[in-house]
Amino acid sequence: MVLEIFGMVSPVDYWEGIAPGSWLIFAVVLVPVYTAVAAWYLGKPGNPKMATMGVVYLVGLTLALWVPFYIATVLIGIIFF
Amino acid sequence: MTREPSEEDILRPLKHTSMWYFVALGIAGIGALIWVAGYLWQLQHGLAVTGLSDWGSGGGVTWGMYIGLFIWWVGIAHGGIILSAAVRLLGMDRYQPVARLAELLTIGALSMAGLMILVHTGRPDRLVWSVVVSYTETVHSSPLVWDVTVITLYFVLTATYLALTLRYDISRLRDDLPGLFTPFYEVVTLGYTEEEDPIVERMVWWLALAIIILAPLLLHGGVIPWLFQLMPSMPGWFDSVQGPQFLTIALSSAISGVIILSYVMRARYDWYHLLSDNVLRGLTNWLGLFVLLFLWLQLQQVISGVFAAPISVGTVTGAMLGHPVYWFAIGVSVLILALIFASAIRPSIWSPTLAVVFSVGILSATLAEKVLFLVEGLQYPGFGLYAAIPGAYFPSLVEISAFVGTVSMVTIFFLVVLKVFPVIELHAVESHDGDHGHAEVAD
Repeated sequence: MVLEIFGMVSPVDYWEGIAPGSWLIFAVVLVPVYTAVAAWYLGKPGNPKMATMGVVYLVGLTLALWVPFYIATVLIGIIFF
Repeated sequence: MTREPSEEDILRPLKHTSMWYFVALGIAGIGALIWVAGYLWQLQHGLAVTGLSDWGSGGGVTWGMYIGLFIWWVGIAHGGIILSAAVRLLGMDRYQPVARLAELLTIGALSMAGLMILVHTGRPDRLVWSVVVSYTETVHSSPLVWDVTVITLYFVLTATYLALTLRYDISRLRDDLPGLFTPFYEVVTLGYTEEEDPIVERMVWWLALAIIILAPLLLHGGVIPWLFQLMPSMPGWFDSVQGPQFLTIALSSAISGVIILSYVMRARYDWYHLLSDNVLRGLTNWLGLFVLLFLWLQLQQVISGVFAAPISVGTVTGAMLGHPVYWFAIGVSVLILALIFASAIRPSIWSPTLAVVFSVGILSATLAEKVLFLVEGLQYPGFGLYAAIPGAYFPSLVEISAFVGTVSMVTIFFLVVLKVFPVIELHAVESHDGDHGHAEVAD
């Protein structure tokens, strides 16, 4: 009997189950960020207070970017539409 | 005798303001206002004023100079932080004086890239609805949402990086900084103690590692080209070489941006000993390497497109090769590459001014190539939907005003930052003094 290691297989349906964007963003793109944040808390030299300050920077800057946009959007909706 | 860099050097922009500062501010202000007028016109009459709405009035082109500028600005943003991260991770200390300038270029350029997306949506409120409000649905399947996610991430990581490194500098130079921005300095240095220095240094190292993976491989070699290369209906775009191709263009334009910025800064603030000829020469050599890679990937694309390609790919490759804008981009790149090689063989050919000429040439070539890539990608789709759309694409005045406006706004951003905190890290001066004992690496 010939072992068909490279025989034809049924192609994977990439859209079945977890869609590409979900694993791309949360399991690939964000890995460097997970790593950096984990290293802030677990690496040496380090302390949890400084690591938390770093996380506050990350979260705070994200909010500082999008919350004003969101408020502006709501205002546009109220004023113009 | 070699001049030793000092704190006084990096504080110079904060303490002295020449007439040229106001001239530059005035010119940039006019440029920004030209764009504001164009944008208000667009808001009043709709995206139709650019010809980019609906199916596009110019041969079916709906993504024109706005998206071209978006790619261009992300590209420029790109190298800034890469250079800075390389200084930290690879010990390329020669470039340390350029590091913060490069980080700031990232923030300024990235803001302009985001602005172009906002402007291109037509109605600005569409951005929040399509990105934030529907995020849990769209993240699964929309490359546009991936793009905005990674750009947000890149912006936030860079700003965190800058904020963390500023703590050291501002706390030490506080007495020499202008009183006007005291609240800003207090926020940035909140809870600062000298004991945190080695910890913050390590945190920034990890951030640099995250950025050096995220920015080239997942942003400009990832989600940005994926906006195009994942569309099977556009044969000019559907091509997996686009990732590396975009990356080489990004790195070339980014290094060009840093060269121009360094040249202007050292001339204005007498920083010839900090941003030395050696730094500019080194950057020029990096530029040569990235342009070489860009041309190599163009060759890959062209040979695949002309040899025995499917008809749709052959048609768009033929259109690209028949367009003068393409040959402008390639011709300028080849010429600059040849001159950079020649100056490596005969160093006397090179001069700082020539490095700036190369940089302007590469920035022009990359913008031209990317706008053409966009336009021809749309003009030669793999189906006949656009067949009845008449006309040809030419950037409207409103789009051209966006080019003028974004360059002006980045200039204003730098002019403002120059007066708020040092744009050269204190470490760069201290390492020249031997305070930190970094080993000089041959790069």
